[in-house]
Amino acid sequence: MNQPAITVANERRELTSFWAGDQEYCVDIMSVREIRGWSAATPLPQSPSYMRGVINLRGAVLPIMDLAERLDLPPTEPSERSVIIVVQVGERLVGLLVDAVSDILSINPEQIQPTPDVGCDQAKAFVRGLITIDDRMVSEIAVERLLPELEGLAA
Amino acid sequence: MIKVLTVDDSRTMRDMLRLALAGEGFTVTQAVDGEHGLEVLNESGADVIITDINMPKLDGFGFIERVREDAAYRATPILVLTTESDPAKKVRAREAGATGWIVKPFHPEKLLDVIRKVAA
Amino acid sequence: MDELEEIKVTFFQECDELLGDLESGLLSIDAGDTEPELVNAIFRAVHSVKGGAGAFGLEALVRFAHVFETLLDNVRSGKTPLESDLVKVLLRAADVLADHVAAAKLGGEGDAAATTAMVEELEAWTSGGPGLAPPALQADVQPNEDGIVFKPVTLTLPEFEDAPKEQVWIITFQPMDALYARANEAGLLIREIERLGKVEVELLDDALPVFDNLEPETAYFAWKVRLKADVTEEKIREVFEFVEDHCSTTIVRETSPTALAETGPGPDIAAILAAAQAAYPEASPPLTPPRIETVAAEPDLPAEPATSAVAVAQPTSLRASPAPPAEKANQATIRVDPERIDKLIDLVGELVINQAMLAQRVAGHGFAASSDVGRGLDELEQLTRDIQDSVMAIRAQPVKSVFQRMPRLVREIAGLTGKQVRLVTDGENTEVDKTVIERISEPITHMLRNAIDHGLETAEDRAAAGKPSEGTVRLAALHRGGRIVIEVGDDGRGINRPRVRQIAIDRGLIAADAQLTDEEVDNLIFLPGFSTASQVSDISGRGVGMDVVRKSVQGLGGRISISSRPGLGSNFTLSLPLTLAVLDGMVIDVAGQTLVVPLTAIVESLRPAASEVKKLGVQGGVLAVRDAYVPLVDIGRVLGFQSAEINPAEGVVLLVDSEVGGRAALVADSIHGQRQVVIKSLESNYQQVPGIAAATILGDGRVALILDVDALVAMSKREPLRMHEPSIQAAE
Repeated sequence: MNQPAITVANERRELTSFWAGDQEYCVDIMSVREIRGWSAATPLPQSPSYMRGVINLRGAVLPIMDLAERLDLPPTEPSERSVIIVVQVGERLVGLLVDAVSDILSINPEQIQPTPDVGCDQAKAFVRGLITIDDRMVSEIAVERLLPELEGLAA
Repeated sequence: MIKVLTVDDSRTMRDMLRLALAGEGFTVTQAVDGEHGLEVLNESGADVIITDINMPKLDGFGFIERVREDAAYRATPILVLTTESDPAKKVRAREAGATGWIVKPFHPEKLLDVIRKVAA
Repeated sequence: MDELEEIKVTFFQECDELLGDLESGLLSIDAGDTEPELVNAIFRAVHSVKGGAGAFGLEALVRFAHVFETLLDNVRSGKTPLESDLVKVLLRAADVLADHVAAAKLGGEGDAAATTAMVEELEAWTSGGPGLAPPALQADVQPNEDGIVFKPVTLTLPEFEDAPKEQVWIITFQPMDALYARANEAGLLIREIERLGKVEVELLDDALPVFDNLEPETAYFAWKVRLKADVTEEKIREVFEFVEDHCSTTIVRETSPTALAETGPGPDIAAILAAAQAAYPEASPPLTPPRIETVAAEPDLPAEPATSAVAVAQPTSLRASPAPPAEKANQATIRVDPERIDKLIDLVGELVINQAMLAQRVAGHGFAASSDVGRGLDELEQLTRDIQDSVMAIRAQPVKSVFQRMPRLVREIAGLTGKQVRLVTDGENTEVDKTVIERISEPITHMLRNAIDHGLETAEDRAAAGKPSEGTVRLAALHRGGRIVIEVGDDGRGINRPRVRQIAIDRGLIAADAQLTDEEVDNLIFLPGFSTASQVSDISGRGVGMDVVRKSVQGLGGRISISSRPGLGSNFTLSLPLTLAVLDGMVIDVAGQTLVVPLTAIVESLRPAASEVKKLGVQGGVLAVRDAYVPLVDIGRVLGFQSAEINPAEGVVLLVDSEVGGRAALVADSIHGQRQVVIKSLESNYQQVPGIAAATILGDGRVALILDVDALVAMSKREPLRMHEPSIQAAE
């Protein structure tokens, strides 16, 4: 009955990588619910500018966040090639507006290095770690930290 | 399949009975009080009846008496659900025509034993 | 979740209903209702809680329920008269029981000290009245009314030191008619004995009369069973547990056991029974000889009580009382995952929207309303609305579940304030959508606290004012104008208007020279930061003022108002939509965005003439509407969609009543018309947005935001909030 938890240290992880503001980022593939094309969002008043608004996701209201702007990079200019990555954060779904999806990465957890102490606050706040593949550097996004401080959460 | 009619105003108890019986090859029908029990019995019959005593509208004693009035159910085993704390209920239930009783809270195994004891 | 856990969830749901029935039953009795079925119903409620608790091994709950039940059983049988003092005790016991259930739900046990005290009190009443010493622990074995002593049936037998060895038992039993009349069977008894060990069965038919005297329904046979097994006598007695009074049984140990035949087949019970039945003149189905009542035929056996064999329906067993509605609803119900219903409601909402869009497009193509297409659309609309109503009805629930929690609250506040309070409820079967039910409990709680703490006077003050010392608080629900109205009234002192006015002036909420009607003064108590309690009491204090209540009510698309008569009491009126699933709204365009304004907030829409618009200061403006000036609120600017103002004379103005800022004129670019929209939460995936109540999805698939008119008007104001004109209709 009392079996020790199976160690996950050696299990490979899969990550979805994408481009946002000339840099490559990734999120755990387990948190990705779907990837869809860009469609015009209904803007939300009195909201941070990186919140691009809300769209209809099969009857639910999905907030769309410009990931580049959230990371203090120049705002994304949505085009036909832009995509929305729908990720699950706790009980919520949020759509990340990015330039393009690039890859599915399969890595060993040891390949993830901690974020070095760089000057940029946003990078420290939202990047969980760095992955180097060949000569590429991909930053893993900590999606749970992306949403603005939630008020009225208990309501 | 042996068809068991369970009559109890407590949803919890009905569900417990269903859980204990359904996996053991019994078909279970349910009623929420004595009057409803008579209706269900008329509609779908029963090979064994398990009934609570304290129920609104028509209590277990009245229900058993009414069932026994019907010639078709004189030989149908009727078990009443009782609690250990009130042995007088067993006497009254038997006077009304109950075949036997099941003491609450029951263990599923004990329930099955009792049914086997009275069901041909 | 495994099935047992699911049943446990059901059990706790059922407990809530039972506790509600228990309390409302006791309250009816307290109010003087003498219907005997009430006592039966409260007994059953406690009994069922106990029964279910036993099934889940919730021992503390079982123990308390048992003590409670014992007293109620005495009340039911008339042993303990149901006097007014006792009802009060029972009500408090119901509270303790509710605490036990709540604790059990969380996996704990109720408060031990409170339980012990209540148990003592209940036991004192059980043994003859208050103040008497609790009786000594009652023995498990007690005589019943008939003086028969029962041995408790032990399910697990203790292991004896000298464990029974294989021995031979001689069991003889002779069933009486009554045994068969209860669907017991000699054959089944033999089968049970056979389970215990090796048996030899002998049919004793000595009692069988000559053919002519044979009574077809009389039990003539006896059996002798020789059992070889290592069992105790108790174990054998258990076989006869159900028939002990209907069967003469002897069980003896064979002193010099002669070995049973070790070889050879076991007894053929079917053959034995067949032999027995063959003795009857008519063929009967196996194991079920027909039987009717007879007098016991055997003179050496105790005579059967004449009443027992074939029962007669007792008129008293059919009780005339109506079933509680909850039970009615239980009959022939199906279980559906609530999510499926929510989904269905969403879909029907979309259907309503699509139907409206279709109608609009058809009209745009020039079809007359009288054409086939027009008539077809009318029928479709009617059908759509009917489907919607039916689907909403599935999820509708009576407010009873909320109202049932209130008597306890009232008792507790009455206890804390030392006031005498009677709660009267009305309309508890009023139905409202589940989405609303879940959220009205809190405002009702606050209003009741407020009514007792601030509204009612102390018993002495009431007596001095010539009122009955017991104050009355009334909680009512009714449907009015497609909304549900909740009223909380008291017969207390009413609003102290000069004081309220002074406080509002002191806090800068109104100008010192403000001209306010009585009604406006009363409604000042809803302003943020207003609290009339000069000392912060335990009950209504703690910062939860009526402004908070109003805020939460507004969050539900509701309104709250008060009317008061000095010396006679106050009446709060809460008006809420019947559902939070759909909303009738006006679809408007503002700065290129489509928005929805709840129709309930809109008084009228206007296209003002330029002369009616007056500039006021740099940015503000007012609109002359008949005799009054109404502040203009530019929606697009307030929400930050645009910086330039729309010229109201070029756009459209919606005159709205807001709870905070009174009447206001919302300026929009254009109006699309009225629609029913499906309300979608912004919070489920995001968070609250200032000025926005929720979102919806339009026929073209885009998301549109639904305005929170009160928040919008509040946002548009820089200066302290002021009451402009009566914005709330008086209650009743």
